[in-house]
Amino acid sequence: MAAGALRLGGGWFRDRSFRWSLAGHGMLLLLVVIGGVSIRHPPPPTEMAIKATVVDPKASRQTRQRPPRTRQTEPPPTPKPAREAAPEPAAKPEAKPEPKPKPKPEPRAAQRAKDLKAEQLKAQQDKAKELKASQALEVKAAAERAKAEAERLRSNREKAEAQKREAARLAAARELEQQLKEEEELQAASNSGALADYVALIRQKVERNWVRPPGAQPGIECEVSVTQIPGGAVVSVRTERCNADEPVRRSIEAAVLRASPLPLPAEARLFERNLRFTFKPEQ
Amino acid sequence: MLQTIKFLAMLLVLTCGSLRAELQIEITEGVDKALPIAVVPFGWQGAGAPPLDAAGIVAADLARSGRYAPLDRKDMLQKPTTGADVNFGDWRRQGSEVLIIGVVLEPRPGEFEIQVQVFDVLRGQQLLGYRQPANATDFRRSCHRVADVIYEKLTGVRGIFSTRIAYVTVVRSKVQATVPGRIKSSYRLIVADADGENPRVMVQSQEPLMSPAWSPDGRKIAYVSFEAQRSEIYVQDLRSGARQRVSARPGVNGAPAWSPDGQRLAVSLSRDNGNLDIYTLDTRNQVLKRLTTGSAIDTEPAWSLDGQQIYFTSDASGGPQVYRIAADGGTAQRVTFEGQYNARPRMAPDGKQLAVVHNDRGNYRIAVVDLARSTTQVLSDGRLDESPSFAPNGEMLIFATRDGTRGVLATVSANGRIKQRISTLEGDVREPAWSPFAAN
Repeated sequence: MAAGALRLGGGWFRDRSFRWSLAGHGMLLLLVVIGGVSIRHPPPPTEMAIKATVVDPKASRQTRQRPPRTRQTEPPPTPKPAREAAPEPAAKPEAKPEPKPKPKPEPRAAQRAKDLKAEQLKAQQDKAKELKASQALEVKAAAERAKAEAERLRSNREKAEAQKREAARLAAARELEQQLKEEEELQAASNSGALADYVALIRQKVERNWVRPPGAQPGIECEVSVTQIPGGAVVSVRTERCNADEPVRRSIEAAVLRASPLPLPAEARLFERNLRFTFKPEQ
Repeated sequence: MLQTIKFLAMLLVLTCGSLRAELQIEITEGVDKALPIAVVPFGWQGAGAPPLDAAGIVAADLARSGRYAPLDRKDMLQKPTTGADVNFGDWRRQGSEVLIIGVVLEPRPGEFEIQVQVFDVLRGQQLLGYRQPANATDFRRSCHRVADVIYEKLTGVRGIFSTRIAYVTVVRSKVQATVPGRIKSSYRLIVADADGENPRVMVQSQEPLMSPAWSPDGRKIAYVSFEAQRSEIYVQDLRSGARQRVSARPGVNGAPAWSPDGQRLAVSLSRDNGNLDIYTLDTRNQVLKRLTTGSAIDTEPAWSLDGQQIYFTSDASGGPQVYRIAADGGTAQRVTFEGQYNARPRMAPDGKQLAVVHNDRGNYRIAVVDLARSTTQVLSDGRLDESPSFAPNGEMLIFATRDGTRGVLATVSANGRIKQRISTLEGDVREPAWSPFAAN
């Protein structure tokens, strides 16, 4: 059944128009996949750009969370990398806004002397805090950048892999097509060449093993029914119609037993469990 | 829709494939190789040592047939002497297809019984169980009989191991005293077992002995002796040694051949006119009948199986060729046409072939001529092969060939594929004649 279905597919595969339609469908599928990615993708970059100014630890958490999403959508095909490269510039602005908060404490410090110190202290503390925060942010941003870079590389890699996979898939399809073609050829040949080859192999091996006793002369004819199992081992030999003497019958059965295991056909499907030999010496 | 049709078609093809009941294979050829067998040394149940290695004799006989290749004893994994001890798997793995085991009993001193069992190793079945009585003097011959019985069981053809061969040897030696430098020759007519063993001298003479011929019952041998300085034909009884001179006519008395009924001899005589012609001679009443006349040399007669025809060599057409003439006279017909030289015809036991000496591109070789098809097949490959003689089962021929300056005996299978030398014989050996099946 499966073989039949496969063979059918093979027939279609060999059809040129089908091949073209297959290619067309493949392209369409590719487009759909790409389209799906491009629709889903744009938001992340903008989100990232906005969140970067807010300077919120959450943002980093979110950006951190984002990669998995991109990773999930990535497997589809090609254009992604261009869009994924976007997060990179977006990450830089995140770091720039940080210096702005710093100047603010200074004007306040000049107005009130008393509070100045405290303020300054606070400011310093804040500054330190902010510095810390900004440093942390910068580290984060760097990490982000590195991550983005890694992302880019990964996506490149994955893109290459996807291409490779696609090529492999096409190669496999081609190979399958070839196999199916060969199978069909065998099937076509089964009534002539391949089967005849199989019969010839068996015949030659049995003839090589038939040590003819004196009674095996032209004019005798013996039919022998033989059962073999997959692998070629002979499991039964029975002389049926035979006009020869007992030594000849024995030699015939011995020839088949000695030839065991019998040769196997090139194509397993041609294997035949039941064989009927006709021993009919010529000279 | 198209897919469905294709699918159904495929299904049909596959179904037909599996319905194909069996594969038909025709075998028209085989191989002529020796079948591997094992002859295990026989057990011995008697006093002292067994008289001979019976299994060794049987194995050698079967090997000599060219059809069997006995396993070397040192390669035997086991040496069973009873069927119960046989492990077919081991013999199968060693490739032996026939297993022969046995035991020699000595029920009374000097009396023996050889018991053998023959097994088909591939199928693990006994093919033969056989007992052969023997005594001390004919023990070897009894072993040959065992081999005969086994051979017949295995091949369907009667064995020839207990038959014998007759031949002539010449031993030349320098005479010491009286006439310096003169070579003294000693001619012997010898009868030996078919394997060349056990030779017995039947006649010895300083003058040539020639053309031994077995009587159909295997009890007598006719031969030509020059002991009276001229050729004479004698018939000698093998058992008693008693002999009778049957032809000492003027001129050449040569080439005796027994009629199938053993009553007459065909001979080649020159008589008064000096030209050799074929005659028949009734050994009981000496009635002589001339078959050929004319100027051709007609010699070396051989009878057809039914005794109605006599084949002989004649140079009527120039070179020697085989002719045939009715045993009660008539016109001779030429039988051989292939080549310039076909001589010394000997009838095959099936009456369908003649063995001849045939000149094959300058070499004298043994050939068989198929009488129905008039074809010639050269069997031997020597340069001076002579005197072919069929074994009584027709499977082999024995003939004389040259080994350097010495004549030796060789055998060849009737299809020319198995060639062997009998190298045990001494002297310059010539003119072998294979006995009929033994009557005794």
